[in-house]
Amino acid sequence: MTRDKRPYWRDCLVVSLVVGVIGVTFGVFADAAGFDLAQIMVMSAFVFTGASQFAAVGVIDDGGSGGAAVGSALLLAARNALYGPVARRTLPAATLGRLASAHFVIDETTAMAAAQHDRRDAAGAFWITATTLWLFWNGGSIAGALLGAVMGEPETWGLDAAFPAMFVALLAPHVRTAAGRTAAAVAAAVAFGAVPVAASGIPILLAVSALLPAVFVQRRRGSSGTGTSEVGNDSGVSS
Amino acid sequence: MLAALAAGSYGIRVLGVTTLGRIVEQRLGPLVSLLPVTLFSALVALMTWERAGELALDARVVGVVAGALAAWRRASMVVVILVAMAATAGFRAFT
Repeated sequence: MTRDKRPYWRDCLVVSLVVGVIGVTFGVFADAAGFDLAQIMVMSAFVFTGASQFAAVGVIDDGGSGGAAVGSALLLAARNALYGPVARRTLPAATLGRLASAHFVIDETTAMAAAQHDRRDAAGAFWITATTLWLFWNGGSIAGALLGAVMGEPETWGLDAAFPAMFVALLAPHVRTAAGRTAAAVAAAVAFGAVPVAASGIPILLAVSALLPAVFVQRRRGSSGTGTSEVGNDSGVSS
Repeated sequence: MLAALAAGSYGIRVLGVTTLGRIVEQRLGPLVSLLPVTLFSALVALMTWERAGELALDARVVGVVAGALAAWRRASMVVVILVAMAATAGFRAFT
């Protein structure tokens, strides 16, 4: 599979670059909502979760309270807790190392790690993405805050499709097994169905229920599919 | 507000890699390997269809479908992203 022989660090940089560009839009957005440069820098460095930062700034921009902003932001950040069990496999085993690296357990680092075939590559992908993404996200935020609306309307050049497409690319190795495809399809359907009825951040948590039918499919196939990979993908398994 | 936000989001992540992570690991065992595909598929669905807490059918769908086709043809990630952006931007320009 040619795809899998490509060095992963290039994809890590692509991910970080895209996130950096989104960081510029965050800086512009937060600046327009009345946040000053120091606040924007602190947020990007220490909150370091794009979706939550956009949500918090959005609530304030709409005239909401600080409490409401924190609430909706943390609800969106809740999914990072579910990345923990996946990321644990690539993080340092020592408690202190784990606590230090926890800050970098986000969508992109977890997805990059989980798309690799072995533990070493997963750790490499996690850390290259973590460091470059943190730098680009913060650099982008600062640039956006200082320069203002330099990029025009980012939607006219399709930036809002870049992020989901990035994760589509990272899903590819996972959907080569029947169980992976089942999990993907059911999770998307559950999330989709939950959007109109649940607060932002909740649908992705509910999507974990997709594990049940996926396990059923895996067992029915009499699969050797579990436990073949240590880093959270089954791409070595034929279905 | 910023302090609460930073502490809260860090706390969530710490919980995930420590206590919660250990419990999930013990309960799910090898099934943890199905967790990424589950979470990221849901994430893609949300980023493609959700806008401000509602389902919205817009140009993003065109881009993500185009990107998925590129990924299926084993295009590299850069190509997948550029195809998706171009399709979404093109669709917006012509509608």
